[in-house]
Amino acid sequence: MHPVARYIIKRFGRMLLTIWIGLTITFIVSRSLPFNPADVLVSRLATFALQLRPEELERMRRIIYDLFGLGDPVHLQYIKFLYGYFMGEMGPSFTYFPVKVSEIISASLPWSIFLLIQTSIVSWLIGNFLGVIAALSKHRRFTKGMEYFAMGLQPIPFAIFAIAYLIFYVVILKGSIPAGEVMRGKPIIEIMSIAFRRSILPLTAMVIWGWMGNFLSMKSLAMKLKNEDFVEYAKLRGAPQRTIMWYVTRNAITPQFTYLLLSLGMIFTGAALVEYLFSYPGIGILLVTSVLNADYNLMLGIVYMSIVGVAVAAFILDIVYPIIDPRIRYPGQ
Amino acid sequence: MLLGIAAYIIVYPAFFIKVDPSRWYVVPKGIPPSQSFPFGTTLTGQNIADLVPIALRNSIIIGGTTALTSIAVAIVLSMLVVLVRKGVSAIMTFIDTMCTIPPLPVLIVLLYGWRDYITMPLIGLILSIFGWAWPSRALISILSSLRERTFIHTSYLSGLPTYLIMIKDFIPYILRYILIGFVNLSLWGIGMETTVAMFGAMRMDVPTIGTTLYWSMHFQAFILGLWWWYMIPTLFLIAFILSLYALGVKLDEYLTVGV
Repeated sequence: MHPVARYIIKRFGRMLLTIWIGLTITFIVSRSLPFNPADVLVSRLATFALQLRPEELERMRRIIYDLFGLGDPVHLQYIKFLYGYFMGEMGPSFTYFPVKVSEIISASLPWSIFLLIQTSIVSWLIGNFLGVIAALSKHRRFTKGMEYFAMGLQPIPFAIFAIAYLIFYVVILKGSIPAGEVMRGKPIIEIMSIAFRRSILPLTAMVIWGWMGNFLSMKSLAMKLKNEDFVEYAKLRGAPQRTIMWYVTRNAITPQFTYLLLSLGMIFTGAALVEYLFSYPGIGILLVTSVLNADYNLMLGIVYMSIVGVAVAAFILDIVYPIIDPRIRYPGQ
Repeated sequence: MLLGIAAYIIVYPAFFIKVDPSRWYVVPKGIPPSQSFPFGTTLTGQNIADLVPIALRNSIIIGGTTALTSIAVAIVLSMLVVLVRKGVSAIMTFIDTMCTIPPLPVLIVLLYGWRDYITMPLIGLILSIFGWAWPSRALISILSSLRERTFIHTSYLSGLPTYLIMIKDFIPYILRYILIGFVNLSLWGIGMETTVAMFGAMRMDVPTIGTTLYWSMHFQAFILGLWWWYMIPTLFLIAFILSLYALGVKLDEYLTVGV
């Protein structure tokens, strides 16, 4: 088998493993709550149907328990849960009852993945580019200033920065936040342009923050690499600065890419927050809705689908990896 | 600065706070900073000068517990992996998967579901469900490369017991990483708590920096111009975080000289 095909199959297996671990975590979380989400749904429905007789209420309770698979032993519950979630059957939402959780999430998830991929790629490219420039530049004062700026700002929680950015944009710049538009029936290019317009604000917030981590790690990697023999040799043979920069970038990019893949979960956390703050129709808004309405089923669905979303995004980026790392294309050579 | 903040959150509440700052409507609402209320009051009738030290202290307890638990798990796990020398790749795959899983939705469900029962250290423990993965990954890499060094082989061949190899040979090398990791994980824990609280998925009656910001957003403090409500707690948090980070950097510089 071709090494790249073997690599992709392996990574696909990793994606399935992530989804399985995610499902198991969702199952453990749902069963470890101090109450039963199904009982919450029953009591909520009972308040809307006060005229129900006790036997009708009991029948409704049994139906909901069956729906959640709560009457079976734990191992059977787990298997049914795995099967149901894997097939996209996550039960009804409490808030939008009887609409299925999967339907609600599937409307928001593409928005979140769109923002996640844009954010991670743009801030990764900017951070790495600036990192190499800073390591090889002769303007020491400027690059030091940039490094101190990034080092000083990076430890501050992203939540604080996101609020500051929102205040700056809305209260000081008096900017407006784009509202929703009807997308059904429109051509794909127009849909993409609407999606891009809506994502600009959360994207800029994420990129202004996100480049710093990549910048700092790339700079320290490039600083080490520029003292390597092959770079020294290139300098001695009179190679232009652009070639030296390429040598350093090419060798530092592989660990940086691994870092990008591993940090997708963390980027997702930041993305969910800015989605909520900037009214971007992704998972962040759904999370707030589910919390405000104590919609546990929707919350559990979001837990699972966000893990799937990040796993899929990681797999998409994983496929790019063989282009960057020749050791995968030509193993053992 | 760190000492000043420490005095404010430890000494001030012990001697100067007379009414529980988490209680609402105990002082006039929405008063800007003045002589009677140096940091102003909130629309929920709380004195910010009393609220900030308690909120910051709670956030620090959460961050500290997260860091302590995560680092402890990471040390034990990485030592076991290096000691047993088996299943390293399986464990690394599991750790990589845990790094990729987005922590926010899981933490929101757990903290929201358990909000009536949780205490501040317990929030820290819940956060460390995800906190251990990154430091474990780094520690396993450091210890795995360290294991191949000649002086470790010499210790093994000299018949030094494994636990002594761990303590005498490994610990001095990873001590620096442990200290820096502790500072970084504390910062991560505080940031994560703030994020979860801003979604409202927390015990909202207990003051933390996150819940204070949540209530200021909930009461539209930005639009109403009550800048002191969100600005003062944020500035204190930033001052604390930057001084903690500076301490971490200095510690790193000091310990690097020895290595």
